[in-house]
Amino acid sequence: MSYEQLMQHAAEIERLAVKGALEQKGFVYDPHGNPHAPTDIGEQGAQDIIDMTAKQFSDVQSMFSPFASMPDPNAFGGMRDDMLAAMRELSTGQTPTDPITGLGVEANITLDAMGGVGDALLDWHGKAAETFKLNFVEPFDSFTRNQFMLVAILKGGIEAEQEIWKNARANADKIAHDAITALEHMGDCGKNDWTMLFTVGASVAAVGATVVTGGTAIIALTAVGAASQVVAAAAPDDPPKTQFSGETAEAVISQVREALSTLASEIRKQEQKIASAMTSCSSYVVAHRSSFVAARPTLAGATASTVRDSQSGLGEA
Amino acid sequence: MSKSSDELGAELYELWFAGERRLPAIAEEFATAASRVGGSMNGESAFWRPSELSGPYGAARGPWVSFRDEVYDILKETADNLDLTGEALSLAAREYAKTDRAAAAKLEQLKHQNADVQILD
Repeated sequence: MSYEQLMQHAAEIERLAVKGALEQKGFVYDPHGNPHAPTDIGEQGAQDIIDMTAKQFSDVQSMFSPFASMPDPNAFGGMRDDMLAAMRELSTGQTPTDPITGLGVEANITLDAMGGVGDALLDWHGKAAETFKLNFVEPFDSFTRNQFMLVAILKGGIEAEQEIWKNARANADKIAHDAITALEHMGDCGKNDWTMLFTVGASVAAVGATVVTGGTAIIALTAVGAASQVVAAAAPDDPPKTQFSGETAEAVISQVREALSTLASEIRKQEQKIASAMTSCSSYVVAHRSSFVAARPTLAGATASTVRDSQSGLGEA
Repeated sequence: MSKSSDELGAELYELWFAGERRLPAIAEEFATAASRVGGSMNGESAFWRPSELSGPYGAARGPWVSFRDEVYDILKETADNLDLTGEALSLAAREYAKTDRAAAAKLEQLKHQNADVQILD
């Protein structure tokens, strides 16, 4: 059984529900799968009952239909790879690490060339040269590290989204599988019950991503990641677990409806965690933009007539 | 004691190299990072789902995209600042060289002599 066959499973659930309900009304199925009514109700009466029972379960497939078109976790792979590629560009320091997953990210040594830029300006003391060294060259590593963190947070959000849909697809598949098993065993001895673990409810985990502000202060932004990949996360929520039972086709289908409703609700809750983390990080960055990007250097606007100036240029040679 | 023309020429070469080679190379890394971050918009349709599941795009897409756009702007601005500052240092080397013919000759000699030098050498 797999998620790709979810609508086939839904059709099978509908067929089994109708069969189970008819059998509970005294119908008997022949080896070819045709229902036969008790002899005393007549042909028309039997057909009316069959039609009414079929109608009773005619919404089973539409219940599953939205879940058959859930996002494909693999479709987020391109966005995730884009973020990882950007992190590689921004990776500085000795052991740059993805703060969400703890995985190492190879350092980009081209960024080390900023050291040579600083050296080239050592003997130039015009105001624009000094402020460029002070506000751009010296904190360059901090700005770059902070930017690396922001992209890592974006990547964590996408990985969390992937995890939601991976689990949601598995949960929808299990709901269908359990329903088929329950419908097939309604007539057996013993209690017809089953447990559903909504793993989607533990897909997203919170994790701190530290950025440097004001030179030395360290602030931890609340990021999120896929619960199966994060490091040092707060304990993830326990996945909701529900006990289902049903001795009639109506009861089983009612439980399936409840399970699908719970699944949709858990998906919403998990996506809201991502939304909250992204909104919170975005608000922080907007309010503290100067910690993430240097102000435009005066030198950047220098012209031939100002570049040697002691205020807006490099000053005396 | 004022600098000799040779010393000035050597300093101008360092300015020129920083402006012409080092800063554009660093700027390109940030421009590439911005491009990858911005390019992720091509994958946003992955969020699509039916209306019964908070469609068409769910709660996470909007805030993620807004944050992504903010990060893109930061990376692009950094790349632009690096590029423009590089142009300014290169311009500075040329403008100072106009004031000292011997220093200008030294600058040109070093450019020629070090044509193969890499940015991290």
